[in-house]
Amino acid sequence: MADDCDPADVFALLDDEYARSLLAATSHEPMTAPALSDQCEMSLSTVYRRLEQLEGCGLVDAEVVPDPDGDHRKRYEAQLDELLVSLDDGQFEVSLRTDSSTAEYADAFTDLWEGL
Amino acid sequence: MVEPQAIAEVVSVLELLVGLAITGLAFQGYRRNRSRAMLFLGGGIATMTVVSLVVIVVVAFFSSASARMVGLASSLTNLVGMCLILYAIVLARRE
Repeated sequence: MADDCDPADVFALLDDEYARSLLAATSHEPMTAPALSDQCEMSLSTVYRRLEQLEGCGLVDAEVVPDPDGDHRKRYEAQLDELLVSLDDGQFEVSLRTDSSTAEYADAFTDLWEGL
Repeated sequence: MVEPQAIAEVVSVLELLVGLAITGLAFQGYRRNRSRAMLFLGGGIATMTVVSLVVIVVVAFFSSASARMVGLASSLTNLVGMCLILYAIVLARRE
């Protein structure tokens, strides 16, 4: 979780329908803002605004993909696997568990076993 | 000349590490996908690798049991592990 991110910001983002659909859409594969605008049926400016907030809290990560046309597009990917909210001594604390590399293998293992 | 005993110890440690890795993946799969089948599979693999090794070490070094008793303890542990895996197969069909 980004250090300068207040737990209240995270709660507000998760309460926001747009932010949630952006998170859901980018959880499968990295996507560009225009593609997200199309898929989630929201304006490009809303997409950019929400992505900026999500990125600020470390909930999504952006990577720049070099384009042969020289048009470098950012692709966004959700960095959220599990969110833990704890209340300790009057202080809310939010910690983020991101997808680890073993998560993929664990899921594949589960699919394999459940496919028996 | 490498002692067979030393090789056996290295192999045991490798067995423990690989067992732990598969167990870890199974438990992560259980946590991520709420799959009870994976919980039992992980339990079974852990029993047959980690627990089995612990049982052997404990029985062999901390009791005066004969080699045959150590073998029996190890077989019993593996039996329990296999039962857990069998149950995981049943659960996988049901879920």
